[in-house]
Amino acid sequence: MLVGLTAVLGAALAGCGADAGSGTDKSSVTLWMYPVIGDQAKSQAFWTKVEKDFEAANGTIDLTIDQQPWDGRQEKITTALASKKGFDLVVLGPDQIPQYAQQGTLVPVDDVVAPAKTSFLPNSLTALTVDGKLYGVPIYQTITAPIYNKKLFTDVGVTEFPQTWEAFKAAAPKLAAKKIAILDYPGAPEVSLNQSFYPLLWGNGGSVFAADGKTVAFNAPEGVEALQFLLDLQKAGGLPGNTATKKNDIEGGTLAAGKTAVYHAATALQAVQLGAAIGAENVGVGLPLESGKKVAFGIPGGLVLAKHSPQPDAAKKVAAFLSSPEVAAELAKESGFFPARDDVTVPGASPAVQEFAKSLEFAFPGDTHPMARQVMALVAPELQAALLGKKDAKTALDDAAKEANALLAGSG
Amino acid sequence: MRDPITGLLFVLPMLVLFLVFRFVPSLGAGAMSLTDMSLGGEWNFIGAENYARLFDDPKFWDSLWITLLYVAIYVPLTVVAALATALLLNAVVFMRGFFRGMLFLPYVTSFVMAGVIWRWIYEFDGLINGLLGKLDVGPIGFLEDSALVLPALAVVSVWKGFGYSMLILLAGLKAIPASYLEAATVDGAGPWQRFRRITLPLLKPALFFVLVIETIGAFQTFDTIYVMTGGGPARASYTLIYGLYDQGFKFSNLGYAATFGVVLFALVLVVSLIQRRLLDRGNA
Amino acid sequence: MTLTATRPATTKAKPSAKPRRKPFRWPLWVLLALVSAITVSPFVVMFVVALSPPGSPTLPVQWPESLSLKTITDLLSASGFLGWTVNTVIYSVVSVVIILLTASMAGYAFAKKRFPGRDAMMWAFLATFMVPFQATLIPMFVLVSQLGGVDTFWGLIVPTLANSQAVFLMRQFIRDLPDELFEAAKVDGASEWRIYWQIVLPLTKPILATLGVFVFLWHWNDFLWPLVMAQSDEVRTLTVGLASLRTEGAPLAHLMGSAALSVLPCLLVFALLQRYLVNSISMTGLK
Repeated sequence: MLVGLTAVLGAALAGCGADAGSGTDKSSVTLWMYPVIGDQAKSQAFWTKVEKDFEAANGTIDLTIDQQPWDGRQEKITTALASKKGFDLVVLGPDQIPQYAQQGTLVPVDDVVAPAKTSFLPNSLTALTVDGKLYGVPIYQTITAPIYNKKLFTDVGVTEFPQTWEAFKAAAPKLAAKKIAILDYPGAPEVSLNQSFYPLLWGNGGSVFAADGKTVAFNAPEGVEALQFLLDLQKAGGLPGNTATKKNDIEGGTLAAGKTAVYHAATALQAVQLGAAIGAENVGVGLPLESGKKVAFGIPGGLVLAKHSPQPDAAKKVAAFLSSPEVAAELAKESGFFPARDDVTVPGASPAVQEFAKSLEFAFPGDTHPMARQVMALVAPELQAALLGKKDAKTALDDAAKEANALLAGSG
Repeated sequence: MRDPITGLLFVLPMLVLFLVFRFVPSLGAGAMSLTDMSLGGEWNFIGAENYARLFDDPKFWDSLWITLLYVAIYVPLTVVAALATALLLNAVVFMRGFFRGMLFLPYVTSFVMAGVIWRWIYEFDGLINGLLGKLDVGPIGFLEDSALVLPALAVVSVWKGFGYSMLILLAGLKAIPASYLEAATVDGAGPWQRFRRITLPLLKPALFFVLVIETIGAFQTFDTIYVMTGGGPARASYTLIYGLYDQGFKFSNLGYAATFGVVLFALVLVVSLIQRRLLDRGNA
Repeated sequence: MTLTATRPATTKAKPSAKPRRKPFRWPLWVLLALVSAITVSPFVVMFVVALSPPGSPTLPVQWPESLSLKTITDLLSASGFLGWTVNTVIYSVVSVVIILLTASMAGYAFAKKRFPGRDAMMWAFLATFMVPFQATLIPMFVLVSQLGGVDTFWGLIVPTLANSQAVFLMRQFIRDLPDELFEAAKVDGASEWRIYWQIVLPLTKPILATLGVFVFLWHWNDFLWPLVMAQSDEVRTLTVGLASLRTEGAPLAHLMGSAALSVLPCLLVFALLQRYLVNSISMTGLK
């Protein structure tokens, strides 16, 4: 009797896991998608439609698009790949692909783009290539640019958007006199440094890693100057009081409240959100903030295929469908990102979005390195320490570099 | 009733669960700390290298210090809160059940929910700073200032959990025979003396229990830190457990993360043993 | 969730002497009322913000002029939240049922049966109290991931079932039941399973109910294990979902609305079973 019960229990529990597997003659593909379309309702509608359209065209494939949060993305993907569970396809950026490619948990997808290779933006493909093999099918391209509150600047008599560090430092005290911080710098560790510190570093000619990738380079003079620039702004009242822990949300954030004037690495979607808060006519879009060099962070979103996927061919069909001109155009329209191919016209792009397109030529996918995300996790707390006045710029970056170099040496 | 087979059969399901999910991982923690296992699953035996690395890792020492500091802030705070409210409840009769319920309420909720509410309460544009702003004070960076962040987090955990210890202490207070206190009153002892001479000594076992439970709980704090600070600012709330999670799931160093787990176990064990010894001495 | 020290035996308060009517001490009463009000105030502000009409000013700027269920209905119509709730119900309820069953079976055997290795086994069970869950998080994750349990319900549930507190509590309770009951049934020819099913379970109802409530709350509020186990929305629980909303910059009203909804079942348990919960903590030290 007892043994029977245990057996029933066991079977019931095994059943919980089993039904997630394959069905009968249908192959099922799971795609992990992220909130690239900010509006929840729109996002849901869009991806449900994509699912239906795809299944209508491919009767034997059951596509599941699973909406993932950005939060904890790295950890979740790593654990999914390690445990061979979760997704067949997932959207990854160029900085995340090398480590997985190196671990051998992904398979190349060159054959998916082969039929229309020349239509894709060369920058997008290059960014998703590791050791000559393409690991991601680009479905969109992002770009960041400074967005600013025009009114705040004109109110203090600054008529031209301060394009350089010097101009920034000059304008900061004028705004500070009205209790407005010029730069909406998001120092929270959850915010990717690609949207906070790194653009300043790159704009000053610096780079995160040394050329050979074996050590880090962000503590070189270019990096120290970039951090010092922030600290100088802070001293001049140019950063918000909670800069060390604030995030880069527009809705409900300091920029939307008119307490800060510029966010230097915003996405087009964020420009739209800012427009909703302060009026679209008050939103200005600049070119990348520079100190010698114009660099705009922008990455392609690539669909990568997990090696553990039991149905790679079905998954590749999904990838091909998502990167087709029709879907790419719709996705670009809904997300405010840009298509990763040049044979696509985005219906009804707003003026702000068109302004963003001007920065596409400065697009830089960030320092792609297997340890890029881990290094970020080491740098962010040190930047916080500097912004909290606990360390000076050089010490903070040197400390971070020491840890990062140990990490790089250890993972050899 | 001698019947070896039935007895074993009845224990069997739980026994299997224990063997697989408690004993194996407990031994596994020790074993993994001697390897360089990564999330991919490959591993090499590397002896005590992880422990040597721990010893040289300033981040580890910082996290150990922060953990101890947090425990040192949290435990007295929560014991005092629990004792004070238990004494109040014991002294008041009118609407006692209602108040006890209100004080106990946060205990049935989750630390994540507590973290979500309190983060907003503490934030720059949150509740406290919003109210202070009306008085033209502040804003105070509760979660932005590395000196304030641990007390701020401790308050959240105290709020969420003190109801439990309060009930234990209240039961202890109720068990003190009223005749003792009456006798002392007759002898002319004031309220403070009665508390000091009678209540406190008789409450000692319950207090020790609360102390042990709360200390061990404090070492394990994770949820509120994850939700409210992410270990920040500038690692000011980066505790051992946070280090364990970070090493394991962000840096993929499973072997090294397991080492953090072993240290946590050792710490909890040592603290429990010390407290047990104190308790035994107290009873002798 | 661990119980390391053994609960000191609080001698049940004997109604010594006739309880004299205590004088009404109003300063203490006012102080207690104040402390209680402060304790519940975070819940109050949570509900106020969650029930504020979207777009109109609310706390901390001002008390909202009217209340609306708009945020709550929005949340309930979006897919994420309901899914998380269902997952949390599965996680909690399945765990409660299996733990009650296996722990009462084991507790019965430990209390009333003799078999080789019984005491050693009981001690070994108790010894696992000493190992904090987090210390075994990493090996546990590796183990479950090797077994293919990441992002499945069984991977989420099964490892949390090995609960020594539950076994210990059941054993203590069943030990106090008189042996004669079981012997009489045995004489009547009842099978062991029938004895367990028709005598042990009904007699242990009160302690099963207590344990059930606690196991439910532990699982409903659990975070770290679901955080590493639940990868997709199919398995994600409320606490994990709530934490992800926080870092994703969801509007404040949504955040507070989700927090409020997630806590409702706990408040319900509390409202219905408060006296019961309070008593079982005082008597058993269950945490």
